[in-house]
Amino acid sequence: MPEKIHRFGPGRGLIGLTTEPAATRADDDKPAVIFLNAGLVHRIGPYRMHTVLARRLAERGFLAFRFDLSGLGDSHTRTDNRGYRERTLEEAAAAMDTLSQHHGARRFVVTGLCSGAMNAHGIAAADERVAGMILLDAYGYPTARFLLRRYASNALRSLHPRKLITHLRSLVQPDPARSGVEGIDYLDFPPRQEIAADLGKLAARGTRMLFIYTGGVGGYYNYEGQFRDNFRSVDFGDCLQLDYLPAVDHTFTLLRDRHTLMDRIEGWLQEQFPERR
Amino acid sequence: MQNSPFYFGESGSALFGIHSRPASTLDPSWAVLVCNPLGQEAIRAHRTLSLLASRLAAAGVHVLRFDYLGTGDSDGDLGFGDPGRCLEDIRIAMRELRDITGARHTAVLGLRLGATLAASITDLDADRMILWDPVIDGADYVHRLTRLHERMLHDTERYAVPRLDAADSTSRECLGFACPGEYRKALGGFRLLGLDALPAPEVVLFSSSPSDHYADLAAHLGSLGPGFLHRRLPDEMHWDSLQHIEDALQPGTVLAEAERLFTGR
Repeated sequence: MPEKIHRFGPGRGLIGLTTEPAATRADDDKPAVIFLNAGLVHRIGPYRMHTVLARRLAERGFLAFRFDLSGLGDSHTRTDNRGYRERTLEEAAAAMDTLSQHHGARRFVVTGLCSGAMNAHGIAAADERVAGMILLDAYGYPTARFLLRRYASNALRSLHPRKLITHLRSLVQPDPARSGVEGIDYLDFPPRQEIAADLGKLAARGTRMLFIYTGGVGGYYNYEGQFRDNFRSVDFGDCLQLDYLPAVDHTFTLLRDRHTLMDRIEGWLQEQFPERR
Repeated sequence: MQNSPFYFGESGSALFGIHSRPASTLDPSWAVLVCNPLGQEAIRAHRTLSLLASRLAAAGVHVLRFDYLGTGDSDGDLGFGDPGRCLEDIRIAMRELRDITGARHTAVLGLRLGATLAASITDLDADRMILWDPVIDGADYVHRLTRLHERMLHDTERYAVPRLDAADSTSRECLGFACPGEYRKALGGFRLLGLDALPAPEVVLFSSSPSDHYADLAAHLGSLGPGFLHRRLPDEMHWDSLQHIEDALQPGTVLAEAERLFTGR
């Protein structure tokens, strides 16, 4: 499986690797798949998932690219004053430019887990070259059903009336300083309306979307369909597919879980971006 | 200082490496081969080893880091890593390091199993070997990883419901990586307390806190010759902690200690 090393981006300080499809499988119309860092894990991904999946996808005719954002893995740490979001968008654009220049790629699918999913969302919203995104444990916001399930689960663990009263009070009198409810896990999520607006724009653009949530983020996502409830105002058309895997952990540690995930991603990509006949 | 990623070794079983080279190439005195841990510990350590390489290169030392076959960005898929193949890869990488640098002195810096594997090779011909938190006994290590994996399956911080359906993974996987019986058996053969000679003229043991874990090994290596030095580091690495299996390693004091070894500063 041919792999090629690229040094690119500001000062050529970013490092990434393409996995190229065999010439017989190459298809100019297929998007290139870009893997983004999951948290602090370098480009190979949690338990090397990106390397393995990149090679599988190349066998299916997709050009795949895994790289380290600045300050992660083997990429340089930037010393300019740009903010995290601005840097991420700039570096992702540089990755796409590199793939266009060296491999003729014209459109892209971005994928990531956790912070990688948040970044993939931002990149897709900002760059029209993105034709699809695969987001693992991305944004989620509480709903009444989420809270009920959470209380039920908590009640089973500890039947403490004060806890219940605190939670119920937070339902009727949410703290205006937070977009969420006390005691619930939040990353630093943007307001739900902002994410909804992005998703609406992406759907209108025809961006294909696969969202997968695991039981590992039960602190903010705990039932099948919570995403739909979160974003009822968005007309996704046929762009959206959603999976919920409550038995699985956040980083797909078990091999069987990882294989299931990789099968799902590979299948989705082939379905959404079929080979030209 | 410049980082140059490249592939080396044979086509079809190519190894991915990154050569961190000093800004000045005049009179390269030292070249260091970094030997990664295996499995999840390699992922935890990646950025710290990258920072270490950059720091040493900035101090005038060539550094080569690489991924064993079937791991990281190297060819193949060998899950946790095949210990026998890793030994061969260390030899290949050492030859590569000598070829690309022409340095007068070579050193090996191994972390965890990387240290243990390197120390077991009798013909590496390195002038210095740095063993950073080495795995002292392979069989004990496999046992502890297996117990950690087992506990992970029941960890309700990780899984909403304990993964009783995956109990059989305990004999085949180690914390996210395939680790079949043959690898476990091979790992069981590595015992640093069984060394009967220092693996290099100069051997330095870096031991993170708690250091008493390494008291017997330090005493044993010290008994093998005058070239042994033990540096206790105050940093805690949490190698055996279920709560830290996915935490990136914090470099702590090791960067400065390693630089001091090669520059005397």
